[in-house]
Amino acid sequence: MKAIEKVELVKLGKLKAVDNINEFLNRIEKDNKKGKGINAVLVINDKALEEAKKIDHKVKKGQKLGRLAGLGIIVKANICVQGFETNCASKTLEGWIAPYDATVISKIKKEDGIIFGMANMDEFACGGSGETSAFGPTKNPVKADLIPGGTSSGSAASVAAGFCDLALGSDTGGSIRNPASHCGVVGVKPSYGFVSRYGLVDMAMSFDQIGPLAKDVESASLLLDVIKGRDEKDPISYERESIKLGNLKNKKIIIGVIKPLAKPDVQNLIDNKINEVISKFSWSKKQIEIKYIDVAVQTYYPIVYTEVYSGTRKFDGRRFGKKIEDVAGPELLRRILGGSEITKAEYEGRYYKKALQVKELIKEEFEKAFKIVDCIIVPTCPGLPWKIGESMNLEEVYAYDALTIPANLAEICAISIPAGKINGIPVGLQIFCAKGQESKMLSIAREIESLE
Amino acid sequence: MASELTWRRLSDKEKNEVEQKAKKIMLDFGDTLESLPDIPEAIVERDKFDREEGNGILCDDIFRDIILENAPKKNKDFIIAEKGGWVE
Repeated sequence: MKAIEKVELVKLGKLKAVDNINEFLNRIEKDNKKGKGINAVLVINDKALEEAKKIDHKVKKGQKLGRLAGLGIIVKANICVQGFETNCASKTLEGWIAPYDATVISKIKKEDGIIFGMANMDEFACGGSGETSAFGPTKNPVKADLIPGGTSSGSAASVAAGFCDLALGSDTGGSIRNPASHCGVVGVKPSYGFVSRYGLVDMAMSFDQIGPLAKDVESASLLLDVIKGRDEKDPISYERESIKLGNLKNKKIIIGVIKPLAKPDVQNLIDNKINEVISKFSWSKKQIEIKYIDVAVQTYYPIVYTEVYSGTRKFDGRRFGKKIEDVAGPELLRRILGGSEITKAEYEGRYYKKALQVKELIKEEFEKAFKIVDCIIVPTCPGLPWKIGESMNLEEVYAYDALTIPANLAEICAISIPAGKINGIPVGLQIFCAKGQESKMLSIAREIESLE
Repeated sequence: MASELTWRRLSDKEKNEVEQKAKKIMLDFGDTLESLPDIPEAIVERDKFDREEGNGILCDDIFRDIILENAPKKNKDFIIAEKGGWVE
């Protein structure tokens, strides 16, 4: 059942919020640490059932209920939830309790959503596979020996494993869409500024965005609509009108396609899906060129390394847990040390400044493209997930972000939806739309999803 | 065999290897970007330089309690920020 349908049942008293939460708690008990050992959830809210009882009481009393009434929501462990351990899957913040709610959390609580757990993730959102957590890798619920993708590994795996109705993740270079693709769920990266980051432990402030993960597009849209909007505490956030999903079946939608960048089996699956969409809805496709997309990875990482280094200077062992360099895993440490190196005065202009310039060039390329097409469709990931612990070349690992990073560089919105499977492994289809065009993007995604 | 990604406590030798790898990959990426065109720096002109601060937000008691609970070293109502204070 879709999360959006559950809310209606809760409001009508046909589904008790307590039963909903209990079911999730039972599944987590069965398969998170024990059973399948998915290891998607790090912290459970021991007051979740009390909160659910309050929702049921409100239903009984005929009181007005919020748009997320009774839904169980799991939150990536880098988003502050007051009273919950928000450890960013690191030893640095192990045991650190968030003293306040992030803006997105306040908004969810206001709409009667029940935050009942914190999700595993890559350490400080540095990674891309779900393996860099200091509390052990998350397993892919579809095939337990494979990575779930990252960095919102626990959020995507929780949705896929049926541990929650909805989840929150953060996306800096594909961290919502990549695990959504590998786990076979829906993940949305909103446009830069669409959602407040107040209360998010930053990874790279030029790119970070919080977004929803769900089993279907409509439910993800609902959560995005709740969390979006201007927040005085995040100056880059801005106000947008409500998300409205329209019927696009008979509209003249032009899909932009770019040169193949994925492995042939993945690319073929996506190309076939695009052709199916075009024939069913009478949409059209147009080949376009996005200059500099080939250097997206090389543009992204110098900015990320620099901002990780800068953003982690507060974890000095005095105010926020243990000194980060002492307890960081290899990927986080690589970014800190690399960032420290390239920000030296002797390299002025060579890395960070140059990369920011190329970011602007890529942004302009997308702006030009969206003047002639409604959306651009590409595979979410260039290949299938690898095996947990498999020895991978670092350049190869970074190249896995090649198709998600462009959306972060261009500040546009993007979504990954399940497109099919190869040997039983899910493959995600990614839709890009212009900055602020979330309603159009989600409407297109819902139409494509309906072909399932 | 652990991959380059799997979290583990790193020895000094491994930390040194991580640093060398980071430098190499940044050097390679920097080389790639060097050949791309420069663009002039953007200047943002603003008419208004101040934002509305409002009345600010008062911290609730829970915030204060949790902040103090988090700190390993504290006095009655303040945290003692000391180098190495959180060491295991």
